[in-house]
Amino acid sequence: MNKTEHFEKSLTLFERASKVIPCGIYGHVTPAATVPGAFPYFARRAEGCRYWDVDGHEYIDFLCAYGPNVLGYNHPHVEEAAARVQRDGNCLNHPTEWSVLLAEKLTALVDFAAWAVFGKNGSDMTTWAIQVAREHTGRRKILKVKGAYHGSHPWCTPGHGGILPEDRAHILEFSWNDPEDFTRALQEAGEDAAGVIISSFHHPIFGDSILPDPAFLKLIEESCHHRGIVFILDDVRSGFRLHLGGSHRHFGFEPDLICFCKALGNGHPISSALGREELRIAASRVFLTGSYWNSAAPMAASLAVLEILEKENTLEHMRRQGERLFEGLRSAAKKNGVKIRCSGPPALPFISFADETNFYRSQHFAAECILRGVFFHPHHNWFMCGAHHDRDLDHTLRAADEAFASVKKHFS
Amino acid sequence: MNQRAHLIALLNLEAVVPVLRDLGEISEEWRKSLQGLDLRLKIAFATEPWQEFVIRDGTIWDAENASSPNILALWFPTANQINRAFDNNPFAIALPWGNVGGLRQIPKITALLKDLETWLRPNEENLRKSGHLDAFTTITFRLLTRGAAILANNEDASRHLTQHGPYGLVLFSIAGNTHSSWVWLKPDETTSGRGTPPKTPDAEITFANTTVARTALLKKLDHQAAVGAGKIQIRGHATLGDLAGLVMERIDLYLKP
Repeated sequence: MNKTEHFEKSLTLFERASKVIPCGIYGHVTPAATVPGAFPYFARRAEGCRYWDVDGHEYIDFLCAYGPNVLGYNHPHVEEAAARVQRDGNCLNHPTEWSVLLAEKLTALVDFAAWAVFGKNGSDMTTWAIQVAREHTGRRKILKVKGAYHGSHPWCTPGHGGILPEDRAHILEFSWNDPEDFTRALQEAGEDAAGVIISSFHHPIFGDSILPDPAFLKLIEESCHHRGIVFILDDVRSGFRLHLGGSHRHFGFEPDLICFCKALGNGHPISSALGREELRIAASRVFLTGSYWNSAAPMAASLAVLEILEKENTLEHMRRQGERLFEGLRSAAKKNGVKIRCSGPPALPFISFADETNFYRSQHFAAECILRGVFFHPHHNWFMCGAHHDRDLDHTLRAADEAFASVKKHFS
Repeated sequence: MNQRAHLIALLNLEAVVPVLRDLGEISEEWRKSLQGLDLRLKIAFATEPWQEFVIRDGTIWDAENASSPNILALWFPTANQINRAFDNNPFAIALPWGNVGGLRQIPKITALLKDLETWLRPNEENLRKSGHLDAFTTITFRLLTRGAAILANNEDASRHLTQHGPYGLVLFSIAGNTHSSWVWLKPDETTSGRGTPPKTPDAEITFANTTVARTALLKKLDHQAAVGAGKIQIRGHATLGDLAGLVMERIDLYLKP
């Protein structure tokens, strides 16, 4: 069966989609970001760490919906918590008690946080966070890392359409793990530096993940502290995968504001920002709202997620399974005479092929894994979840072994 | 010097003029129009280096690969003058010099350059002629890749786009058409070329056929939808291809499409 037949329904649906939706599929889930034609385009259902595409193929999923699926798709306790609240009414004239309960829970988990607010997407929170930094300091400049993703709003989107130079007029960039470049950017901002926003590790698309140098983090933290700059941690991607109290605890630094999304809802739409007491007044002065931002069901789902993560020690499970995945992939690659690089923390692993900058091998490997029922993204960091069990990893590593053999044969 | 005029002149000299040679490689009809010409043709403006080709035996060669005893040099004293010439204004503003054998061929060269316009900006009737659509898409991609390198090296906005990378070589081709072109984005100097690239591409963008390629050139193609549907195949570093495309799109700000 050729690939067109293999993904017939996906391709047919895509053809229909292209007539009524710009791009057919847009944003980060665009087929253009994977291996077009060799990957499924549309999903049908999901359970645990597996999902099924519209053609009925089953995959062990190491992308986890780009992060949100932290406990396993369709987790019964989370779904029940959300459904129960949904029955009472989800989007109402007022917030519900669930918002208070969730804010109380989150501020108890995050060591420095005195308050929490809620939104729907990571971008909502990162954009609001830089506004809070500006409001608090009365300054304009925001420093961010080159190539870092903080969302799809004009100040940070990786896209180019509809963006004005003015949208980025007060955004300064510095290189990850480069103290000299950070110092240069800081000097450039001068007395006008309002905030520094970073992720806890660098995870660019089309690139290896790079863990932080502790001295680099220390420099940012101290510089922000001494100059009264708000230090923002964008923990949208890593939050609740490295440490329950925020990724800064895992890497040992102290931000002033933290943004969560993805794993917070295990698929239910919710994001959150938490901050220090000193930022409460500024936070109260930056308008924040959205039609569905007070919805109760996602908040109830979040509380269930946090409870399960804590009770079942899911983070340790993800770390252990991620390490096993790294180890197994290294071993399978070596057996097949293929050199790979493993990067990122085990709970958010990624591999690329050594001495390769064009991703041809990565794309071939990922496409071969897809045919064997394993979903690895060729260019974007992966995600482990609580539902990745040993039997899933056994299947995955067998598939990877065959895929590495195919890479070796194809590129010899 | 007016920076915009200078950029347009560079594009005309280094991206448009080499279309003369590109057409010589790909169009039998164009080669026929070269019959009877035998000269080394040099074109430049102000103090920019000469673009040099040798036209003889019904084809056009890069100057280093052939020779002719006849020389014709067309020098435009200013950027504005070469721009006016390539904007379809009278050609006479170039200062010609050379030897007798070269100068004698001015009328034919003038006609040839005028004819170039119909290849670069063909009407629908011209495109229906055999081989014209293929030739148009090929020369346009070559012009765009050369233009992208010129802008990446000389235009502030393009430098801003490319300053943080990614860097690498992007190969553009049309399935079934062997006349590919490439642009190699680099932190120091971006280069471009045609045919087999000097290194393994970091991104390969292949249009399924000439019609898809032309639709893309006319900016009437939903690129992501086309990629998903297999009308454009992307292999390798897709964001590098996007970046090259963004710079190529800026050429329209300077040259009439």
